[in-house]
Amino acid sequence: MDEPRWVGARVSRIDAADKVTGRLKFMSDLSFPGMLWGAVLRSAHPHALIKKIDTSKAEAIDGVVAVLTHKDVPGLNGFGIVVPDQPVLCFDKVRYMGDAVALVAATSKEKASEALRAIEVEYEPLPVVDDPEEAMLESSPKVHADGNIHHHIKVERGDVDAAFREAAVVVENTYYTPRQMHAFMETESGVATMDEDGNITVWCGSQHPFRDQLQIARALGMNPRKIQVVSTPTGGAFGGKDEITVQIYLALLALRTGRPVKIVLSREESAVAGMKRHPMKIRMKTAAAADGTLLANEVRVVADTGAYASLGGPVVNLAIEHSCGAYRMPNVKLEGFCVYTNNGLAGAFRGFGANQVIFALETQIDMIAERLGMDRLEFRRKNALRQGDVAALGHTMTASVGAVATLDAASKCEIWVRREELKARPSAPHKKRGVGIATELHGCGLGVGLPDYGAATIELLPDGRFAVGVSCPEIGQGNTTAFAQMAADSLGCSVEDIVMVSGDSRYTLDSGTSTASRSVYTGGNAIRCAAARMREAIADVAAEALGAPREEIAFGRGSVEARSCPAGEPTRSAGRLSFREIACIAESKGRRLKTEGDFIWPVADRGVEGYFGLPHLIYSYITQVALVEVNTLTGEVEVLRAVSIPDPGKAINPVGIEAQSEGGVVMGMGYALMEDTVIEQGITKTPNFSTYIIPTSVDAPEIETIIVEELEPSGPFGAKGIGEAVCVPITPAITNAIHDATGIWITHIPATAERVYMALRKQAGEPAGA
Amino acid sequence: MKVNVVLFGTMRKYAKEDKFQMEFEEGAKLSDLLDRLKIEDRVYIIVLVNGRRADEDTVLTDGANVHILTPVGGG
Repeated sequence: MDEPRWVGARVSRIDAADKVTGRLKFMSDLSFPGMLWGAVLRSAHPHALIKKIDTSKAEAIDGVVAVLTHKDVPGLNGFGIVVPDQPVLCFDKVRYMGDAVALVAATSKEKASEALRAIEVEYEPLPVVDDPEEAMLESSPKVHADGNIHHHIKVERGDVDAAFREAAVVVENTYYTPRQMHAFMETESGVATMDEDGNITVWCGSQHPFRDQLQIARALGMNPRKIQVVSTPTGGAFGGKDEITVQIYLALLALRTGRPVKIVLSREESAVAGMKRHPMKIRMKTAAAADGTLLANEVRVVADTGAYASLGGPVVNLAIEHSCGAYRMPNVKLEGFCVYTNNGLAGAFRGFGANQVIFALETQIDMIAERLGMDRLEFRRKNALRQGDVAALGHTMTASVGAVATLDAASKCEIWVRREELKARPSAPHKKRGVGIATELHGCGLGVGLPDYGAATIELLPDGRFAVGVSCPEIGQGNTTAFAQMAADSLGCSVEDIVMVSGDSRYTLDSGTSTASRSVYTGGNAIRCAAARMREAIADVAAEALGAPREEIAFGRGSVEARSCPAGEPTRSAGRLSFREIACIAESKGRRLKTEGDFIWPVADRGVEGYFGLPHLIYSYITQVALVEVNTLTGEVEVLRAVSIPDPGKAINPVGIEAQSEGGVVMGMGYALMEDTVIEQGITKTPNFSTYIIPTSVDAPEIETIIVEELEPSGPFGAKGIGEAVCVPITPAITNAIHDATGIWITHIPATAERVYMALRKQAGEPAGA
Repeated sequence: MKVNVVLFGTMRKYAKEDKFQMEFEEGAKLSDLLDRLKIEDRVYIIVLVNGRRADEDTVLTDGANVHILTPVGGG
């Protein structure tokens, strides 16, 4: 095959023009004749028994078409990716303020709201469980009958106690991380319709239409084949649309009314009912020898998963897997708890458990380096994993490993090289500057014990273009552009000749989720497989049409030709056919050329007994560097510059990697400095962007992205995945920079102005309240 | 014919071993395999035959690799 022309090129996103002009219809933009507005009655209490639900007054309102309660759920009244512990509509008790108690469909949004207000629910409030460690006590009120510890994982290797005894430096701290909100631009929204045969179509932004299809079918008691789910385009997800959001509500209302029904959550409803990043309390004890060799890490994680499990168990598993970062760590004792409370809902979020523990670990690493008097970057490089090493969980790192390469690149970036010079020039006398660095590895795919599969279809269209189908939805990350680039090079055509079909359970094959930094790797490998079969099919048609032997068919750009090559003579063309002509020839014989490709991920050489989804075989790597300025009078921190150095394997589209990197830096910066969903006694105190503060363009620093390509042999064109890692180490890079500037260690994020100010006062020996 | 079966996660409860072989007559379908394992709840499961999502009507072939799991997620 020719050298790639499109893979590695700076290609504009194929959906860019439609998005920036507003032509693209997101799910919340869709409208159908006769469409009703749906709405969800949420709980009035964070924890209460339901004694009675009376919908009669709501049903009597003119314009109200349907009011549904738990009695109207025909199938299983529960959903959840791993365990269906979240009721579709609550029947005996509510466990958080976002719990759904009833649904309405009405002729207008206003009528729907009026109907919600008219539903009478009698509750008996229960004690609120809002501290995860207290929730773990036997004496604590139970959120679920089986107890409040949803998941517990424990992994040990080597002898940590001996290592701590022999170590030159042991650092032990407790870290606290916040409940970050995904803050996607499009809230949870969608439309459902039902046709005359009872088939239901749900248009709803999500991250795995085929799994949604099964969850909807389970709740409706329907054959999944009668349910179509369309998930592309999704207006941002970041993990927050991995679980079911409004899909089942939409389907139930369409089933009951027979009419199209639309639901669009308000920002406040999304903030209260929607998924968040798990707040974690992390106890970490890390040891190193005098020469700087890391010896041991003991970690205890308690994660607040809120009212329902969703992916809380896997999140904690991955927190454990990532808790030793990109380092050799011969002795480990790692333990994680995933605990139910009445504090909202936590689940998948870009980084998936790594963000919390990497913040803790990378702070520990800086502390140890400082205690040993070693350069922070050199200390990391000394301990960084290399290919062939045994990682903390005991598996061998046989895939590409870019830890050292990203650290090497960091050592040469401007803000690291010139750090002392930059620190010496604060913008005001009361401000101090610092430079921080952090690194991580990030698992791609689903890990050992969870078969991770993908599939793709390719069809030669009559006009000579190719329709390429991959189900992993386009959630804003740009995977459809990367798919088109890989397809173009695999088929020998232009990106403009690729028509992507994505995120549709009817018109694509199941290729799994757009999560876990997996879609480019999975979809790309499946496309490569389908494209090879398509080339075979095209060659067959061409050979027959040109009367040439099959082995003499050669592919050019957008065409094939037969090359006759008698012995001793130069190759010459004996006839050429464009892909359009191939399509016409096939069509004339009643054929449409369509192929399928499939792929299963390779897995690590060993798992963790008793657990699924860890460890991983393939990791992306990243080092990030931040320059900050701290106002010592107010505690305010400004990130002035950031450098992001990802190893995504082959960068299929460098522009896409840069976009991911810049967005990730800003998301990780918000996590470091600003964002926290405050919940007190089960009540969300930050339900909108007036109180839940996220970074804006004004806050975004100058961001430089330096791509390091450590090619992964099993990846399409050498690619891995980078969607999550880009937002992870920037957080401790920023908090380590605060230390570099001021000498204070940040162990509780977000490092708000108040927290930094109080730490500065404490450092100065001043009473906190003075 | 012989078919290789692997059960994952919660589906392990349907057999004594995670990995085993089953014998079927030619023409057997995936539904026959699920019947024999007494897997009654078939709405929220995923079955891969030779690495591809398959439905109950899929005809099994000699040496086919069948993976049975519940839908999963992760990071």
